This record gives sequence, C-alpha cells and structure tokens, in this order.
Amino acid sequence: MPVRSVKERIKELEELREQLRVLDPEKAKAQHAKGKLLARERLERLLDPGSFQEIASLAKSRLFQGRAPPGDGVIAGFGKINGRPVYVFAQDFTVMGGSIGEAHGEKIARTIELAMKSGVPVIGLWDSGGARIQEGVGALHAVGRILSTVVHASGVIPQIAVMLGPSAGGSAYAPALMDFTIMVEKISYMFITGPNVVKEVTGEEATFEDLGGARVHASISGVAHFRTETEDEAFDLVRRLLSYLPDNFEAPLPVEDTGDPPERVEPALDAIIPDDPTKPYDMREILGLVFDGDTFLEVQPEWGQSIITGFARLAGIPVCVVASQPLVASGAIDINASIKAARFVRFCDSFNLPIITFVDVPGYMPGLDQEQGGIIRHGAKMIYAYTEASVPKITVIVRKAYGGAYISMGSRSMGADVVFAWPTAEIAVMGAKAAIQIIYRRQLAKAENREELEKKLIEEYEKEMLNPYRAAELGLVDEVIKPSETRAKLYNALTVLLSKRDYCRPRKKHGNIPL
Amino acid sequence: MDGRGRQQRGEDNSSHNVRIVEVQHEDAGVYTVVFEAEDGSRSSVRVRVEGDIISTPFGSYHVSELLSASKSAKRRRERRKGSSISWLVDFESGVAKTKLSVKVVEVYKKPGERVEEGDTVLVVETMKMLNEVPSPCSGVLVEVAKSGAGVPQGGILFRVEC
Repeated sequence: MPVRSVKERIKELEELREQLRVLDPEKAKAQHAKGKLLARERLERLLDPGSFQEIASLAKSRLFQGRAPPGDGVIAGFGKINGRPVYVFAQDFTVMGGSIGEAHGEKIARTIELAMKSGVPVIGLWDSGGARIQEGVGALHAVGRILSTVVHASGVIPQIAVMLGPSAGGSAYAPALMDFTIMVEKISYMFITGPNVVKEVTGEEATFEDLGGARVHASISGVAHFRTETEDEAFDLVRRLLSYLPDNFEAPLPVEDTGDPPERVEPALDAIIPDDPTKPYDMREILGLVFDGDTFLEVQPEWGQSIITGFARLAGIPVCVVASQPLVASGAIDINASIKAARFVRFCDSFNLPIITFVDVPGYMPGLDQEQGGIIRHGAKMIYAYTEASVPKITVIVRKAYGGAYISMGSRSMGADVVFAWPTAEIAVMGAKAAIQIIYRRQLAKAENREELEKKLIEEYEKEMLNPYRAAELGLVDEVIKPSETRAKLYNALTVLLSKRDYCRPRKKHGNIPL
Repeated sequence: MDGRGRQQRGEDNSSHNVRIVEVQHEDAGVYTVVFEAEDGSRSSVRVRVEGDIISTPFGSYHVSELLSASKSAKRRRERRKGSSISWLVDFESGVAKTKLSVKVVEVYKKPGERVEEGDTVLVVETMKMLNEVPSPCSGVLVEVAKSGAGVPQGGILFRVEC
C-alpha cells in the first residue's frame, strides 16, 4: 500500500488553499462586472493586513445534493481593525448566489457566538440571495439560527451589518436586528418580498431600487443608518464607527487623545442663536464647536431629521449626542425622529456611552398622519428609552423647550443628571400666543381693544415665562450658562459622572416598552 | 481650517471657504501653498511632504486620509444642501411644491432671473419659523409666488428651468 509522504500531504494542502482562494473564476468576473468586490477582497480591505484567521473554512453542506462547495458560500473568522480584534463574516455571492444553507447559517451563528464569548464586536458583510431553496426547511432553520444568535448577542457586543448585495426574505431581518446597518448605493438591496411577488399580490410595479435600495432605506424606511457611495467608503465607515464603541458592554470606553483642550472657550457659540426667534440656525454648527474638532459622526442623517443623533468626542471621551435640528420642521418631533432617538439612546445605554442632549424643540409635529400614525406610541418610545438609560445624561437647553417635547428631550424627570440652559432658553408649557389665549380667555373676550391687550399680554408672558429662570427656580435647570462656556461645563459634568451607578432600580424581568 | 479640521470663523461667525491659488516648490519635498479666502485675502503655509505624510504647522496628515476625508466631506456638504428642506418642499423637474401650507414672507429672485443651485429663492413661514428655500439646480427662474401670499399644501412655490 503506497504511503503518502508528509511532503506530499503538505503539497496537497497548498493546492487546496490555492483552489479555495477563487472558487469560480467565471462567477468572480460576473461579480466584478456588477461593480461588487469578492468576499475575500472585502475582508482584505476591511481588516488590518494579514490579520484574518478563517474558521470552518472547509465546512460543507450535508443536505445539498451534488458537489457541495467548501465553505458553503460564506467566509468567516476573526481579524483586527486598527489593532482591535473583531469577528467578521462575508457572504460569497459567487457560491450558489450566497444562498444560506445549513452549514452557511451555522457558520455565521457560530461566528457571532464566538464573538459574544470573546467579548469583541462582530461585523457582517451581507451579500446573499436568501435561503437556499434546495435545502428546504433546513435552510429556513439556518436563517432562524442566525436571527436568534444576533438577538442573544444584542447588547453584549456591537454588531454592525454592511449590506454589499441583495438581502431578501427572512435573512433581511438579521441586519435589522444588528446595531447598525450600512448600505452602499446601487449595490445594496433589502426587502422581505421581491418585485415579482409584489406585482402578483398587490399589482404594484416596483423595482429593486424602489422596494429596498440604499436611498429608500436611508431616508424613508429608516432601516439603514448610513449610506455610502462605494464599498471602500463603507469599510472606512466601519473603522470610524468602531472607534467610538467599547469592545463589549463591560469594556471601558475607547478614549482617544484628540488634542482638543477641554476648557476651550468658544465665543462663536454666543453668536449662533439669532435674535429673531422665528429665524432658524443649524444645530450642527453648535455641535461642531462644542465637541472635539471633526469628531461628530451623524447616525441616520437622512431620516427623522428634526432630531440629530450621532457620536462625538468630548476631550477624547466618546459620547452619544441627541440634538434638535431647528432647520427641519422647526425642530418638532415626529414619528420617525422619536423612533430614531429612542433606538439610539437604547444603544448608547447598552454600551455605557454617556448621552448629551441639546434641546430646541417647539413641540410634536401636528397632523392627521402623525396622530393616526401613532405618534403617541412612538413618542412614548423616546420617553421610555431616556428614563430607562442609566448612563450619565447631561442636557443643554439651547432655545425652545415647550410642553411634552421638553419632557422627552432628556429633561430632569427623564433622569438627566445635570441640566444646563443658555440665556436664550425658553422653557415653558407652550408659546406665548397660544398660552395667553387660554389663560386670559375671559379678559380677551371682554376687552375693548382685543389686539392691543393681546399684544401686551404676549409681551408680558414672553418676558415672564420664555426664559430659563422659572425652570431654574424649580431646580430643573442646574445652571444658566453662557453659550461660549458650554464645552468646559459639559466636560466637568461628564468627568464626574463617568463612573455613574444607578441604584434606584426595582427588580423585574424586563419592562414593557411600547413598540 | 485649523489643524483639527474645524473651519475658521470670521468675526461675524461666517465660515471661511478657501481655495488653493498657488503651490510653490521651495525645496525637495517642501512647498509653500498660497490660499485665497472668499473675501480675496491671501495667506500662505509651508508644508513638507515625506512619502505619504504631509506635515504642516497645524499637524501631520496621511495623504490618503486627507483625500478620502475631503471626498466624503464634499459629499456630506452636497447632501446637506439638498436634504435640509426636503421635509417641506418637493422638487420635481425644477418645480418646487410645498408639502405644508405656508406663507411667503420674502422673495429674493424675480422671474427671468438666473439662479444657481443652492441660491435662496424665497423664504416661507410655517410652524412659527422662517425657512429658506433654495433652488434645486442652476437655471432661469420661470415663475415664483408673490411675497405675502399664502400657498396651500401642494401649491407651487416657484419653477426653475434648469
């Protein structure tokens, strides 16, 4: 019986490795022709050079009848991003359309489980046609396994989904269950039911782009958190996003030296709020001046735009920022903005990132579509999220803060630890005109010159009520500060609160957040 | 820009946009770059280029980082200009229609006047705030609502022929 030498066995391995690099050159060319990178190319560009270690590299499908390809259409393993260990899986569209079979699904599930055990982030590069029909219910179970693993890992480690191809059917739920979804223009598509079935059932003619392109999910459905033009930009974004996040929910925050001094006084802030209360300004200018230079990373910039959510650094400490945007709908909170803020606040709470809130909100967005759309339910999510969060919560009231919207934007009753207000703050139940109509209804009805009386009462109300001092007298504002002092004040409050422990929490299985 | 990527602000809090006017080669890897601000004033900075790294008095930068940062900043600026008013105004083939009923408070351009993409055409009031509405493209303003007029939901604010 011929015995194969050790040398021969090693040579066999080398040949196998060479084969595995590009399994199907024809399909690889087709992938490139579509403007998409191959799975291994993506991993090379995302991870630090030479840091990738593959797992289950030769796993094959049991149920698939015929020549099962090694790896089963997904490449998974661990590597480093900017020196930090991460787990990653990249679906390979050139292998059976990246379809999910038993081995494929199990590999992804195992990668996420390993990431949980290791306490490091996991990044999924999704590019798949969906469940593998040939494997029947086994494929569905595989998809289900991925979904349940993502849920178990949720809140333990950061999970980032990068959509680099189609993601249809049940498997489109996996990225949605992860913490952040990045979509790439013209390459990513996510939908539950494809155009053909949609046409059959509802008669609607819809293209891939209409149903689930990057723009739709970034600006209409709110499924995507970021939208980039190219795959490389998406990888840059993953690196940037990870730099703000701890490895897991028990790990310390990644503080960086930005070289920006914490006690920087910014006189330009004193000049941003216009004298005329009907004139808007861009809240992003304020954020750009208060936080460390060029560190603001906006999350979901195209959806729910009356609230800005994003990560930033304050003297190097990563923080979560929630801020009203007076440029959009006067800063009024609508359904999308409430949901966006609520989810963001809950994510930040999961990973111990402090929350800094900037308030300039006149109220909730009025309208039939808002009320019938359930602004009550969705606005409640924001209230729940803020109250539940046990991270340091610091609020700066910049201009308007009226009514229920004042309450939900990180007010004292929502558990804000320190509340600052600018001299331009107007903290009141409602604006002057509406308020005097109610309070002085009788006097106005009896008045000889109603317009004159109205004008006088409005002026009085504006002087008495539309300022931060009534709220300060009630202890709901800790200090009225000059805008130029904001950065230093925030830094001092933040550093003393960083090791905050919230003791007054009743024991329960979990609350019932309105959904 | 200062060394941390923040735009310098003038006394009136305007942000300065600068463009590079001239690059003088001083020595091996050393250049003097001359900038011109919007107001015409010029300033110069000496930079050293070594391999992939550009060193300036304000900090050192990787060339590839600067390139990708400037590309994405440009794209963000472009997106911002367009998307800020999309909650209120629908633009389709140069026609600006309002999504809420508004009052036209001030009109800056006349019919027949040329407008550039991003120029403010008029200001409308809704939800107790003033909102500037920019032109979605460069072209000629064909029609525009009158100052003081109330425009109902779905009404036309202006029409530009791009």
